[in-house]
Amino acid sequence: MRSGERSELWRALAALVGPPSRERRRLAEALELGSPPGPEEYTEVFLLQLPPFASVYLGAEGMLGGEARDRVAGFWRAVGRRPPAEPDHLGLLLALYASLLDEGEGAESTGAGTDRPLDPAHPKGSEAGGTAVERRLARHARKTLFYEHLACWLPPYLLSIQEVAEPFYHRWAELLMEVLVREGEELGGNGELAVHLAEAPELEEDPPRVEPSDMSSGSGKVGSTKAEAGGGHPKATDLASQVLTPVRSGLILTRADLVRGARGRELPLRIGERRFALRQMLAAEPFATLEWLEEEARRWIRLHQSWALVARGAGGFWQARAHRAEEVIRELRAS
Amino acid sequence: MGEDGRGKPDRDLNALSRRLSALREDSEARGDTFYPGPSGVNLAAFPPKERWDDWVELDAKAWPRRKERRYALVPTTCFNCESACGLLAYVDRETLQVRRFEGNPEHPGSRGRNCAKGPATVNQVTDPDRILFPLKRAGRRGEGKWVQVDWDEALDELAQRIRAAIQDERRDEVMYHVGRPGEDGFTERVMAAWGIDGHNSHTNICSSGARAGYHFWMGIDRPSPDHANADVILLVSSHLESGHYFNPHAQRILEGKARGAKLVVLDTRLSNTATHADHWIAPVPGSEAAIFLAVANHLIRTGRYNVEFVRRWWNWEEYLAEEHPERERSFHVFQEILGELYSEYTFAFAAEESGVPEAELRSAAETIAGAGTRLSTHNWRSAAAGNLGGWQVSRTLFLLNALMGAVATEGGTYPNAWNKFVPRPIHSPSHPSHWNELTWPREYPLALHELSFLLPHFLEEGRGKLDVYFTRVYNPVWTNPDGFSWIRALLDEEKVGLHVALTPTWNETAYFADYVLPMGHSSERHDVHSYEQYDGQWVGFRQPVLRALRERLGEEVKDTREVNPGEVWEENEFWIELSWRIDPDGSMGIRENFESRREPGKKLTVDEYYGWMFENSVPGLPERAEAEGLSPLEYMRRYGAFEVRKGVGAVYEEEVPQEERQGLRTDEMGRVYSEGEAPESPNVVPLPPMDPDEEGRRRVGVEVDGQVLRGFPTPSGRLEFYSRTLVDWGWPEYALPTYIHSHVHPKRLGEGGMVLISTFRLPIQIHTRSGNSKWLDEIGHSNPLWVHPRDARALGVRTGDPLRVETEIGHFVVKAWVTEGIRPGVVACSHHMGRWRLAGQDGQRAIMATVDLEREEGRNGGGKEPWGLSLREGVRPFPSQDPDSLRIWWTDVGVHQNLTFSVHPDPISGMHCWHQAVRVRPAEAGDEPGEVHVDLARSRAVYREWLELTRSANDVSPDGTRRPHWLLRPVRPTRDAYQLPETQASGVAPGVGSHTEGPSQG
Repeated sequence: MRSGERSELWRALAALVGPPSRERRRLAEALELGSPPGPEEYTEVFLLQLPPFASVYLGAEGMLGGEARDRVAGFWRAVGRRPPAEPDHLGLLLALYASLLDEGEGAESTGAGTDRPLDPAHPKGSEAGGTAVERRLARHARKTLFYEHLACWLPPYLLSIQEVAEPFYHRWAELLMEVLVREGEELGGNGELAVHLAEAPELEEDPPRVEPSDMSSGSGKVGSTKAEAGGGHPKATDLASQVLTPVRSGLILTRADLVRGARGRELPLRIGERRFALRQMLAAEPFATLEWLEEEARRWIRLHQSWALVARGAGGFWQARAHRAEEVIRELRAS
Repeated sequence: MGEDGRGKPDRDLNALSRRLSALREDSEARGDTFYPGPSGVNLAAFPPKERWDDWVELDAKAWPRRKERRYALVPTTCFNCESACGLLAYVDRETLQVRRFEGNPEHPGSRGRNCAKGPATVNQVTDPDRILFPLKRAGRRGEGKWVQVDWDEALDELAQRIRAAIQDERRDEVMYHVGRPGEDGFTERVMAAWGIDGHNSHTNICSSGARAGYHFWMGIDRPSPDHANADVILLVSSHLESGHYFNPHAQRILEGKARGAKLVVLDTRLSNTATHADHWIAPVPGSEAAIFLAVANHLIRTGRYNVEFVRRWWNWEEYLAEEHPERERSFHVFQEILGELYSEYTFAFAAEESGVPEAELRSAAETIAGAGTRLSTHNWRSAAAGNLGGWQVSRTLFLLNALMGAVATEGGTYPNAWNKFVPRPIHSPSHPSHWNELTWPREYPLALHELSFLLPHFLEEGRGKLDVYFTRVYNPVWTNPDGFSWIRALLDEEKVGLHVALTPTWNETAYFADYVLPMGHSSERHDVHSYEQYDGQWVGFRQPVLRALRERLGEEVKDTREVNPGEVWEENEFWIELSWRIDPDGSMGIRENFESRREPGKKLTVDEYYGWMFENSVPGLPERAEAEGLSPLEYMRRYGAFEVRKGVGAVYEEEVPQEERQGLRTDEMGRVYSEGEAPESPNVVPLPPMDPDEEGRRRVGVEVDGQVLRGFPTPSGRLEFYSRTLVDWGWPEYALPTYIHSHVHPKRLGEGGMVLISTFRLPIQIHTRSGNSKWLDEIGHSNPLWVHPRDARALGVRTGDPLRVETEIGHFVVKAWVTEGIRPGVVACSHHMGRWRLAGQDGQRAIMATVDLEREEGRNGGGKEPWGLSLREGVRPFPSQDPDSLRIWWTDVGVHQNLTFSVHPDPISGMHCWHQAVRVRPAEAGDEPGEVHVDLARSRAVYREWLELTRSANDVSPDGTRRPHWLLRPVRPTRDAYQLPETQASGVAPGVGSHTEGPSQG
C-alpha cells in the first residue's frame, strides 16, 4: 500500500478523536467499526478517563501542558507548521502524520481540508507534490513524529482504552494499534529512546513528606494531626501523584481503575480527582491500597510486554518503569 | 497483536484505505465535508455546511432533559463595527425566529470568529426599545411627540421635497449624512443618480488624519497590514482590542505573535493591546511622529534601510529636481541628503518630546530594524485623529515601511485597494455636475473628506441651508464634537427644513428629527462589502436572514418588510422606492438607474441587483456556484462570502501587460502612457484618477530600470516621499514626512494644563450603534476618567470621586478612576458612554440616562450662550417583554464629554483633532457626575480660531481648481465642477469616468 493511500486511514482514525457526529458516523462505518455510541461515551472515554493528549502520558507531572507539550509544539515548528492551540492532541498528531505521509509520497493531497485555513495540519503550501528533497524531508519528519511523539506513549494509552471503553472505542483503539504495528514494521525501528522518555524522571525512592494540606481537600485547612490521626502513610501519600504520572511509574491508572481497585478491596473511595482519591485511599487503608497498586504494576508489566513490536526501546522503557514501581510499592508495603 | 486477544489479526488495512478513498472522493464531489478535520477538536468546530439546512442541537435551557432543537443556519454580516465579520444566524425551524448568532466559518476575513458585538446582534433584534414603525413628529421639533405613519406618507413627502429641490436647482439642499456605511457604494450611487453632491460622511471625525498620511505617500488612503506573516508588528494605539477591522486583524496579530513576531505598541494608556506588547511605548500625546522620525533616522544612519527599494520606488528624482536643482540628479546624491535630512531627530530629541526614556526608544528601533520587509504597521485613528498635524503620524509611520521596503510584501503593509474587491454594480450613474460647498469648502482644498463636523457653523454663517437632511445610522449630536451646536442647528427649521433619521434605534440625533424611519439590523438588510484584512480579496454579503430562509423554503418574498419585525425596512429597497417616487415617469433621468435590466421600465429588485452583480462582477463566483448546482446569488445567500483572490502581492512590481502597451510614451519623470484602452475591470475599488498626457494617452505605469511596471497611483507613479501636491497647494513646509507640534503639545498647555485623551473605545461597544444590546451594556456602561495616582494625589481625589474637567468651551463632571495605566499629566475618558434621552422621550432604557436640556435662548448679557445637560435620573430596571430588563443593576452610564469639545479642524487633512487641553479640578458642591455645561459663543470663537489656520483654494490653488483632482473623493463631481467659480468654464469635463469612486468607510 502506498503511504499516500495509507494516510487516508490515519486521517480517518484521527477524525474519530472527536465528539460523535454524522460525519464521524460515516467514517466509523467505512472503517467497519460499527456505529459510534452517543456523546456520553465519548465524554466518558476522552474527557473523564483518558484525555487524548501526549503531555499527560509523557510529562514529568502527568498533567496537560508543560515541557512535554512544548516539545511537541517544537516538532510542529520544525516541520514548518504553526503549532495549534493544543499541539499534543492525539487527533492533531495523527492528522499531522497523515499529511507527512502524503508529502513523503508526493501524492496529491487527500482531503482533510486541504483548503481550510483552520486546519493546522495543513499550512499554506504544504498541500501537494514537492521536490524530491522535500519528500525525503517529509519522510524523515514522519519517522521522527512516529518514534518521538507517537509510538512512545500510544500503545499503553490504546491498551488502556481497550480496558476502559465500550465496544466502539475499543475497536477504534484496536485498529489504531494495528496501524501502528504495521507502521513500526515499515519504518524498521529507531535506535534511540524518544527524548520524552530519556528525559523523564523516575519514581522517587524516598519521596518527600507531603504538605499537610495535600492530605485533604487541598484547602490547606486540615492540619497534620488529622493526617497522622487518620493513620496516613507519610511516604505513600506523595506516592499517589508519582504513581499517577504514567511516564514515571509506567502505569496508566484511570478513574475507572481506581473505582475497580476500591470496590474490589472495599477501600473507601472519595469523590474527587484521581490524586485526591488515591491519597484518601492510602490514608485510610495504606496496606490494602499498596497491595492493590502492586497488583496494578504487575498487570502493566504484562501489558507492556504485548506491544514491544511497535517500538522496542519504548516498550522496554515502560516495562522497566512498571517493574520499578512494583519494587518501590512493595518496599513501602513491607516498611 | 492478537496473542492476548487484543487485536484482530490480519485485517486488510489496504482494502480499508481504498474504501475510505473512494468514499471521500464521492462525498467531496457532492461538495460534502468528509473529514470533520482536526479543527473539530478545538473551539473552531463549526456545523458542516451541508447540514446548515437542518442542524440539530440540544436545547441548553431544557437541561437535564434532552430536547432537540432544529435550526436552519443562514449567513449574514455583522453591522456593528466596520469589520464586516461573517455571522451565522441560527433560525429556529419551528418558530422561524433567530435564536442566536455565531461566526460564519466560510467568511475569509473573520474565519468564523467574532468579538462580543457579533453574537450580541440577537439582543439588537429583540431589543424591547427598538423602533418598529415609521414615526413623524407631532409637536415642535425636539419636543418628543410622535405619531406612527405609514411608509407611503413618508416616502411621498420626501420625494416631493427632493424632486422640487432638484428641479429648482437647489441640489445642495439635499444631504445624506452617514456614519459607518457598512456597504460598498450603494448609497453614493443613489446620490450620484439624483445628480447631487450631497454625500456627507463622518470620516473627518474618524480617519481622515491617518488617511491623508497614507494618501500622500501611495495614492491610496488606507493601509492593509499583513500581521499574520510579519516579524515585527507596529501599532499606534489599542488596535488589538478595538481597532479598525478589530477582530479580523486581532486574530492575525495573534497568529503573528504565535509565529514569534514582536509587537511594538504606542499607546499612552495601558490598554489590553499594550499589555500584549514586547515594547510598550507610552508617549506624551502628539509626540508619535517625533518617535517615528527618530527610528527612521536610526535606520538611515546605521545603513539598515532597503537601499534598493528606495532607489527603485521613491520619487527621489522629483525631490532632487524640485528642491536641489543645483545638485546632480543621482541616487548617490539623494542618499547623501537623506543621511542628513532627519539628523536632528535623535533618540534624545524624541525622548525629550515623548517623555519615553531614550533607551526604550532605541531598543524598539532595534527591533524594528530587524524586521526587514516583514514590518506590518497600522494607524487608523488615535494619534492621527487626536492631534493637529496628526496626519504626519501615519505619514512618518509609513516612512518606516518605505525605508524597509516592507510595502506589499509578505508580512508588510499593503495599500488597501489591492486587498479589496468592490464588484461593479448593475448601473453606474454619471458624476454630479456641481460642487457642494457646505461639505467641501474652499478653505480645505486638501481635506480627505467632507468637513462634516463644521456643518452647524457653516449653516449659522449662512453658507447654505438644507431642505432635506438624512442622518443614516448616524448620531452627530452625540458623536461629533460641539453637539449643542448640532442641536441648535437641527432645531432651526429655517436652516434644516426636514430632518429624516434612518435608524434602527433611538439616538440623540433622532430626537431632533421630523421623521424617524426604522432600518434593519444586520440580519434584516442587504449590503455587499469587502475590506482589506489580509493579502487577498473577498466579497461579503449581508442579507435579511428570514427572507433568505423563506425563499430557501420555497416562499416568495417581494419586500423585506414582509419578514422584518414591525415595519422595519432595509435601505436598498427604500432608496429604490424613493428614487422612483422622485422621478415617477423617468423624465428626470433618475429612474433609469433603478430600473430592471431584464425588464426595462420595471422597478429593480434587490434580487436582480445582487444577482447581476454576483453573476457579472465577481470572477470565479459563477463557476464555484455552478459546481454546487447553485446560481451565484443562491451561493451567496447560502454561504455569505466569497474569496476572489488570495496572495495579491506587490502590484507595483507587476509588468504592464503587452495588450496595454500601444503607442507607449515615457515622460521625463519616467511615467509611461499608452494609447491603448483601459481594460474594464469588474473591481471598482476607489483609486485616484490619473491625468492623461498632453496627447490624451492613458497612464499605465512607470519605467523602472528599463521595465514598464504598474507603480503606484500617485502623480509621480512612485511612492511620494516628496509631495509636490502639498507644495503646489500652499504647504511647502510639509513637502516631506515631518513632525508637527500638536495643539496639545506641552508648550501649549500652560501651567496646570493636562491632555485629555477621548478617542479610545471600550472593546465591547461601538459608539452608539451597539447601545441596544443588553449583554454589551451590562459589560460596559460607564466611562470614568483615568487619572494617574500622582495626579490624583495632587487633586486629593480617589476612585469614584467626582471631578470637573474644563475644556476651552465648558466643562463636564465625571467620576475618577485612579490607575497607573496612564501617563502622569494625561487623563483619558472613553467616548463610548454618556448616552442620554430627554425626559418624556423614548430611548434605550438600559444605557440612556434621563436628562434635561438647559439653554439660554438668544445671546444673554455677557455675550455668553450657556447650554447644558443636567441629570434627572440614571438607568433603572424596567418591565418589558424581556425579563432581563428587570435585572438591570447599574445606574451610572457615564458622561457625554464630546459636548464640551469645540471643533478643531486640521487645516490640511480636515480631520477633527480630538485631544483636548483641559484643566482637571475636584468637583464643586452641587456638581453631579454626568452633567455638562458649554458656552456656545466660545465654541463659535474657537471654530474661527481654527479656521484662521487654513490656506484657502482661493489663495493657493495652482490651477484655478478647488482641489487636486487626483485626491480621492466620495461621489466625485465632473471635472468642470472642480473649477473655482471665478474660472469655471462650461461644457468641458475631461477625464471623467462613469462611476463614482466608492465609499468612505469609517
